[in-house]
Amino acid sequence: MRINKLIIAWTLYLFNLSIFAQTSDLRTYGYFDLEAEISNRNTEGKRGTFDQHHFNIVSVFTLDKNFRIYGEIEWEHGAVIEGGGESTGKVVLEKSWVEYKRTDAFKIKLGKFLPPFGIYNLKHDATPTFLPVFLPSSLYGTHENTVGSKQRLYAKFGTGIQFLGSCFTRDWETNYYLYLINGRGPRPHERDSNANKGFGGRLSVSPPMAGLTIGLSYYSEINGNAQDTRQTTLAFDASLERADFFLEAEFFLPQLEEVDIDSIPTGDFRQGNGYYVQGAYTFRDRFTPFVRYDFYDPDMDGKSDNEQDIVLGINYSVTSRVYLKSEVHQVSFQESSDDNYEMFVAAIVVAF
Amino acid sequence: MRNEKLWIFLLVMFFFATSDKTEAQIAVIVNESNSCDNLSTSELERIFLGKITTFSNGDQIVLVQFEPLSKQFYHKVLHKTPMKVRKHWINMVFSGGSGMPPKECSSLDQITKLFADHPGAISFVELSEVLEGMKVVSIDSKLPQDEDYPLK
Repeated sequence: MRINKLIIAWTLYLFNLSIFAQTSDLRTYGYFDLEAEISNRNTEGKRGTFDQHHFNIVSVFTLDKNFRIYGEIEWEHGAVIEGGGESTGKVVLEKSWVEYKRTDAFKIKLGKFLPPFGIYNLKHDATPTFLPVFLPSSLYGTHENTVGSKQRLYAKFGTGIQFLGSCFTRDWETNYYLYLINGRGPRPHERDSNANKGFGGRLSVSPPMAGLTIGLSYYSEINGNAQDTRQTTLAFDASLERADFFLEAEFFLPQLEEVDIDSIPTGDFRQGNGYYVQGAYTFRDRFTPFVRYDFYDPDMDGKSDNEQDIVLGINYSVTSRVYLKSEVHQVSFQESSDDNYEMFVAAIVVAF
Repeated sequence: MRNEKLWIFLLVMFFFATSDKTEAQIAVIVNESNSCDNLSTSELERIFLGKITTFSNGDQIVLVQFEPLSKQFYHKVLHKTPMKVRKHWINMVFSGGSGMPPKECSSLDQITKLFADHPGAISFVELSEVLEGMKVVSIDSKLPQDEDYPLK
């Protein structure tokens, strides 16, 4: 019921904006994707399925030279919202923020945003912006934490305040982001469940060496969805783009606080690490085969519980807005060979 | 002998048929009320990638893409194909970047209208097609007529 109200409100919002657009600048964008997956992921054997994963509408309303509003609503997995509770999929307000721009070097974002963590969290669900169907699961997927639930190593969404900007000096480019958000909890976009705030930042630098960008990301919070344990993740990234060749890598170090038998945080931390490396080459402006090695070890000192994903794929740009993607994954877990699986996934992705 | 002449004639014809057409002399233009007179090549690149979004006088930059020259312009300024430029903008929009994709124009009339509406408009046209209300900006202190103009 609440979601229905949200959809109606959003429609009215767009309608109203379009009236204002006669004198101001409203632009509407979106993306769509359909995935097809075949895998032997579960114990029941080979599995095949379609997934109408994303249908997202993005509206950017520029009020004047200083202020703009950005909103994105997502219908995920072919969302069906039924009054009787027989709902499937999700409707999510992915982003909703107002930005004040003093200069390109100093901007403030207020609202709900994707914290800029690593290369990709800023555009996490926007499948037209990246080559593969699935982002590296080591850094962008979920993993079991110290209280036994599966979560990301940082908050995917955050509500709060963000300072950001870009600085240019001759051939150098520097981008910075600093943000303070509620952090994760039962109702993270409405009220904080503990006195702590999620805090993070990202710094990326492009030196004069053409096509090279290096970055550093940090996030720390007391996670209200994980028995108020402290979680901190530090990540380093580098990407190199030279003509049609593209190489990127990220390395990260998550620290998750342990809990005792009564689920009370102990002050001791589980130190993990992970990384991925992805290389790609574009032929004839359209065909981009890529290969990726993805690794995650949740506990560097403890048991043998590493996981890895080897990916081989191709991205074909039918036009600049329509992409066909396909990739093969070989996922293996060190601890339990039964969980190993192979997966083929293909997708059509459209940006509009 | 006659066959040789025929082959030479065919080769010459093939050369002309496959060689690139003469490239247009590109002028970067802003609204005549804009105080900007000169841009460096790196500033021009950052502007057309949406990384710099305001002029020094505070005007919001509005990118205007003149379709007939876009391939040549992007190749010279951004070193990218039009396909890569469009992908760059898709990336910019969905990651919430400040830059807004260029407004696409296929005629000079459309550019003239946009320039009248937006004091911060910037575009590129053939030098011979610069109209009233537009001002040619020098690039690295060189004008399109200069021998070492960077967009030649």
